[in-house]
Amino acid sequence: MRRRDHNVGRYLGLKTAAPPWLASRQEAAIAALREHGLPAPRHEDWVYTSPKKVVRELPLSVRSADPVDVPDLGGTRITFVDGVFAPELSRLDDTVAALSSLTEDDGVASVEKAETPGFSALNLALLQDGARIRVGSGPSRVHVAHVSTGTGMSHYRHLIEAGAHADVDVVETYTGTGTYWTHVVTEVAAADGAQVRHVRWQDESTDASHLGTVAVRQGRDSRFSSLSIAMGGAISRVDVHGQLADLGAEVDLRGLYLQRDGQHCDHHTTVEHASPHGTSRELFKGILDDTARGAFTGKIVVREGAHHSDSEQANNSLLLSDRAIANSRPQLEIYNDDVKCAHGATIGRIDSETLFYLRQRGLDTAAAQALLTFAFANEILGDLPQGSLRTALETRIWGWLGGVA
Amino acid sequence: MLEIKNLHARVGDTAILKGVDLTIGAGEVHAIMGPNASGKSTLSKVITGHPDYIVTEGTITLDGVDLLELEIEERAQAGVFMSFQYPVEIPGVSTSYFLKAAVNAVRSARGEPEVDAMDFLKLAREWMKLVDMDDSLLHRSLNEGFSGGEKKRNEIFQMAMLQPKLAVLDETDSGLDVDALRIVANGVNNLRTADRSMLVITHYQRLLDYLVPDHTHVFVDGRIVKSGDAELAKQVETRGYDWVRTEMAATA
Repeated sequence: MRRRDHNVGRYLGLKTAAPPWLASRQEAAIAALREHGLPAPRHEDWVYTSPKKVVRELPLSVRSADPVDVPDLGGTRITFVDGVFAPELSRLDDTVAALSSLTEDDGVASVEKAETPGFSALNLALLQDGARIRVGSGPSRVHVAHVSTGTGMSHYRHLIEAGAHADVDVVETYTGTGTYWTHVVTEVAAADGAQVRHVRWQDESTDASHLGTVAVRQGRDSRFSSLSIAMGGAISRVDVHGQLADLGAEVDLRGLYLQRDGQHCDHHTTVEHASPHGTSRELFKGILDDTARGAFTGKIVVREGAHHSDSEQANNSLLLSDRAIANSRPQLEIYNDDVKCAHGATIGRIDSETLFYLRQRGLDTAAAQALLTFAFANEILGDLPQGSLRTALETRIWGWLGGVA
Repeated sequence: MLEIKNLHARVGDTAILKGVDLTIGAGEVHAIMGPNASGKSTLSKVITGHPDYIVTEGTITLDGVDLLELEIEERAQAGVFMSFQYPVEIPGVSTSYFLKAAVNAVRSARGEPEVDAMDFLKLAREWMKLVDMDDSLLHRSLNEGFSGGEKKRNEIFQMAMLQPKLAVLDETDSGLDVDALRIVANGVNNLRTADRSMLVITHYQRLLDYLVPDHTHVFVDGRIVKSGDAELAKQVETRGYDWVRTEMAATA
């Protein structure tokens, strides 16, 4: 069921500081929003998360005067605080710019279409700022930092354009304090032969709501990999849409969510094999404690002409409490016979014999559990290259587990 | 010194240990031999505190400390070590990470300073030589993809790093070829000290060719039915457990 919520009038009068060249697309987005509304509860793409709970009825955020902490991963960084570009907290190079500093059209909303009904239209209509990362060729590493101080809702949209054979690393971090709503759309256009590695590290305040979309369009023999880390937020929802639009493209989507208390986290992926000889890999792992809930939906569409498509999907959850909930839903739509398509899901607990082994070696139950939980996460972390991001993530996750790195 | 008195234990409703008495002095190696399902492995699980086994009667003390009052990890910290018959594999945690955590947990419980990464590696490389382990294994996931022999050598290596007062070797010889058996036994022999007690549980005598015990006990139906020296193991090997059973029947 595609149930819609047309009660969107409350958003339509809000005025944002988006650049003038976006005005016509914002108008189109507002029209789309009026016509189609937002997804309503029990919409088929929203079975585990009520859209009403993600949406926070807050004013548009304004930059607070409070000093803020920005995670430091080294290298090029563009920082946004409460929806506003913060040049004094940024270290730009010539591949990255804030949308608000651009004077002409830059292709925003070309991957994720403005007419797309729903949250994408809302995001564009209320867009405050974002980053444009454009890499012609060669390597580029950019950290996009988002910090919230709890002044309202922030709508960001980023565009990553990787030219032919470009090699691009983008890490988005989300941190903050207080109650707020972060809504972000990241569009990725990977040209022929380009390599794009995208990491989003959601570590919002546990009173916050986080809604993110990553939309990707890939050219011939390009490779896109995405890692979605979800640790923070009272509620978070992340959609990743990959489209293998040309021959021989590869996509690798990964996720790691660590949730406790009453946190709620939902990942929804769509991989569309639109061209022959495409490869997709998906691995999402959840660690759920207390009454937390972690959901995963993995939709794979193989179009009629996309023969020799090769797709694998796995979603594994580790429950650390009897009351935690894991949901896993593969959705396969396959329109030709010449495909390899595998999927699987597991939901498990810490193995009691393994726990006994570790305790026999002198580790107390808490330390042994932390170690085994880290081991579970390490299937994802272990594939990250050594460097500041991996070190920071490992330290943060050990901290989350109550252990010491 | 390990002292076990009149130990009874069960799993669920099934009584398995039915009155075990055993004293292992400091510096002594005792072997327990027994047929399958005699309860000999249960003894190791009860000493280490496995939660599936319920002690219904009797006592276990190590240097006067009542082990039955202690949690699993507290027993380990008090100096109890078991070499597992089936060591677990933990993908995602390196042997070095795991073992450094274990060594430091035991050291801090004993009021000793923790070892840092450098000292740990130095010590580890030293002890790995004892069981002929390549130190690249330190950085691989614990036991993942290890052969049966590598896993058992890793157990003995861990024992060396943890320096226990009491080492229980639960069927350490199972699944080992002769070369691996010799390496493992040599490693254990090198860890025999005047203040360490060892309990070697085995189905076969062949391990005891290399790891010669001070005393041998035959375990049948949940208790020790016959004790002797290293010669007893050879008799059991040639005459079989039925010989012990027949002898028991004759004296009954």
